[in-house]
Amino acid sequence: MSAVASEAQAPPVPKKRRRSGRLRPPLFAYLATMPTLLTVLLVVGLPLAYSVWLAAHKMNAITRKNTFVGFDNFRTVLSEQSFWNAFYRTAYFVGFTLVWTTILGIVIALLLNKAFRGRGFMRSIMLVPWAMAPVSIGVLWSFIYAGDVGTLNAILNDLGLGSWATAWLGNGTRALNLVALTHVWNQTPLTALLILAGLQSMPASLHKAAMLDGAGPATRFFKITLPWLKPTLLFVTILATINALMAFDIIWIMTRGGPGEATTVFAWLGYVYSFQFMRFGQGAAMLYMLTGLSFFLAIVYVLILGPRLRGAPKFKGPSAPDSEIAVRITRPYSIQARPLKKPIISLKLRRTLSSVGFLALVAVVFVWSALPVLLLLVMSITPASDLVRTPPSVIPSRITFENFRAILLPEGGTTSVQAKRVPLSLMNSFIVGAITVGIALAMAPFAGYVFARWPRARLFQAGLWSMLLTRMTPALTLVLPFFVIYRTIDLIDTRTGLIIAHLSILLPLIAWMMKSTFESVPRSLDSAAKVDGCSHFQMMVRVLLPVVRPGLMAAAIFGFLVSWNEFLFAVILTSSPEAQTIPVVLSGFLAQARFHEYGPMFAASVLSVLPPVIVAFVFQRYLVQGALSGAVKG
Amino acid sequence: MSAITIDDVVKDYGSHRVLHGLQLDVREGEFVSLLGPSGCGKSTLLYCVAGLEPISGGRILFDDKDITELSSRDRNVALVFQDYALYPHMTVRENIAFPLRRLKVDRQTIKAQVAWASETLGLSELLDRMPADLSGGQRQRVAVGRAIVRNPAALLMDEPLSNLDAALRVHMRTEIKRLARDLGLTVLFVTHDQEEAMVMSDRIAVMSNGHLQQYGEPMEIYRNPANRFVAEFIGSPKMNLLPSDERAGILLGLRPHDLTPAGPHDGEDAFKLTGEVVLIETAGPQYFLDVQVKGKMIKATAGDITGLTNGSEVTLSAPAERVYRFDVETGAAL
Repeated sequence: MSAVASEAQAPPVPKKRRRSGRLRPPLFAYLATMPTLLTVLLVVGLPLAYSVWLAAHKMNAITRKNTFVGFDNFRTVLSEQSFWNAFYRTAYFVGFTLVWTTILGIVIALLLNKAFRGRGFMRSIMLVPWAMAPVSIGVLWSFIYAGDVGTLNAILNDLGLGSWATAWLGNGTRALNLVALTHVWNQTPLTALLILAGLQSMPASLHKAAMLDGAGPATRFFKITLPWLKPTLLFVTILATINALMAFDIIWIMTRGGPGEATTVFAWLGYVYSFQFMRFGQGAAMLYMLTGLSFFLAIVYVLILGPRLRGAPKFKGPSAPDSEIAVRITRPYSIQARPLKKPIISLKLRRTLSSVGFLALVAVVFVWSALPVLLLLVMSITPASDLVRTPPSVIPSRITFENFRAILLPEGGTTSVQAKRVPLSLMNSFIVGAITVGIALAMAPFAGYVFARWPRARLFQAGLWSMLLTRMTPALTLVLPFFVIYRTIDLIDTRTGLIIAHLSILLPLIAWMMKSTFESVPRSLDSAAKVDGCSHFQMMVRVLLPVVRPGLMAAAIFGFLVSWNEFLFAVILTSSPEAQTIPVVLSGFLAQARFHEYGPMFAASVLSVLPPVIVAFVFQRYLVQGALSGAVKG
Repeated sequence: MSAITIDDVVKDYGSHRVLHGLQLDVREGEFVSLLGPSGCGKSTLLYCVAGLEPISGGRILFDDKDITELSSRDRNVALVFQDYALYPHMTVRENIAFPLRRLKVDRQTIKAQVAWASETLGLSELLDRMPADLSGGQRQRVAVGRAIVRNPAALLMDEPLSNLDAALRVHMRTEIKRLARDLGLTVLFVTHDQEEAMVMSDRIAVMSNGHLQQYGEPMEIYRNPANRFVAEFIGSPKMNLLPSDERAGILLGLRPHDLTPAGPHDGEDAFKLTGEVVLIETAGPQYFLDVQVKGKMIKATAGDITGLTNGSEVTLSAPAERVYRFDVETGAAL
């Protein structure tokens, strides 16, 4: 009774509430976030800190002694002409991809937002270029653009335009544009996806109202749709910029910075400094500048979108009538309506014409998204000798599965070293992906829950920021310290090392996704579980995790794909077949034997894009609904 | 303002027919409600009139001019949406001026016209606010302002009051009714709330499953329902239905308000029922009685419940002319 009495005497504002009404999180919240935050600190913070140390030191190549040089590395890098050339090239690359992903993304999103038969299928098709690994994309497009026997030349040849055939990537300016175009092909689905989610959140009545108010299609697009999409477009712009800054895989596969230095962008130059010149200090300095640029953009994004992320201001006030309709009502002017006149083209014809035009555009989207992938499929069942014949042709002389046999069967009739590595690499990819996802799923959902419920508590706010910044950190910045650290502790060339490295990507990603998921779970469910006698931990395990199971599934599958497609860590941190993943082996096909192995290479490519394509088809609805709203890296 | 004629309008979604040849005419300046349960096609009909949905058959005329072929922007109709559809990135002023801008009306006229509309609706203080900063009731006024700021041939309203709280809803329906009367607006008003329709309309069109069930003045529909569906849908509490003792295949309908404990003033031919009181509900000026008659629950009203308790026997009576008869098979009133 006394407890009740003292509570009754308590001041109206409980002491637990801090100023601005924040609730102090319970101990459970701190315990739940610890594993995630500590691991992120270990796999992201530590390497980042180490690379700061690297950037401030110079290593003598002979004595292997490090000397402190302060900002010298930065100064050296900034004074080099190649740095500035790369900088301008990067700016061009970013500008090119930004403009085209945005334009194409808006067009595709507008098309696929309309209701038509087969829309779900088209949305899946549209997503395929984004789901594919950049390495597979690079392999595919570099063969399409290749001189002599390249697919584009083969198509031209088949069409009787053989005289137009050329080595498409041979010319510097053209190579930069084509690599950028390939990046556009890869990234447009992401832009389209986010814009589609934005369009779907737009109430249908807005356009109807505007139509009745006399606005035509163009007016409606510029006055209603674009203003509505403004926050989405801003987000997409910054995301696309960061992704373009970090574009690395396709450059590695397609041009390796060449011809000459024509496609040497910032990220590639940083790689060259670090891993070809072995100038770790200068490489780290350069990559730090890249990271700085990304962070800057990330912060701009959060600051501009922050108010919206915290929820739009909602009107709270009396709903009672606060004014009356005037008693005497006379119109000052009589507004003349448009005269009712018959349109020149009948309504029916207009509808037919517009639906024909619409279907034509959908067909264009289909060709843009699916044709390259279908070519890949055709090439994988074409006899290897067909792919290098002259004059080139895309029409196979016969259909064969010998390419698949070569890479999958131990004695597939091939003597190719690289083809024999495919089965093990598929296995490695699977093991690394599954274990990384497993570890991340054991920790990140708890952190996601806490971030969703106590977003204002200082520690968690900081945690959230660190997650966001981690996701904006180019993997290239992390891979250098990882490489140096792994060399000293003997984790190079192990699956364990790769799993730890992949955690640095997946942990923040999944924590962020789970935060979005938990935000859509009503808080009353937490209270109900607690009232029904659950401890915090029981509440999570018995009630909340089962509730968000679809979200967990989505996070698991999405995380697995990211690991499956990941190339940079895999290629730098492994060197022998024992730990190599499928993207690495794919890239090895190009590096090792430049001829006659295209058949097995394309068969391996098909196997590598199979899981992503399946996911694109199965989870299309999920993706479009924005359920994976946190899943926007890459 | 125009008169509206809906002439044999048919609407199909694929192979699914949602409007089955509707025939409806609305006089100039008349306030007509389209009333029915959700999914009955009332909103679809409204969108057809607005030109937002193409019709599959029939014609729509404004003042004898066939507008079936016109796109919605050429029909000069205004629509107030259930969610108001205010343009979220525009101020109240820009929202209201939007239709006038599209008509390329000159600046001066727009200014005067917006001032008039906002004054009429009591929005003058709010012109520079964004929709997000308005209360539900204020948003609703802005939506109405945007609709009346030009001279629409017809004002269409799609459940405009359903997002307001109860007190405000009652207040707004009076205001909208008066506004429509004073401006002489031709209004087509969609609602599923029979009370709203009764209070506001000159005539009510009751719809169900894409068919027009009855079209008439509110009291006519209340007193002479054309069929069992209309009888049950109109009036609260719902009409009691029980099989007739006299003739098979006939249902008797009794409105709770017509069914009261029998008294000395009952007519000779009054209809009588006897049963056991199960529950007495207090409803302010009167009481509702749940009475069990031959295993069936019957609702009745009483002004005075002296002598009535749970379990007590009561005899209910209704005037003979207030007993409705319906065919069991067709549901048609007899």
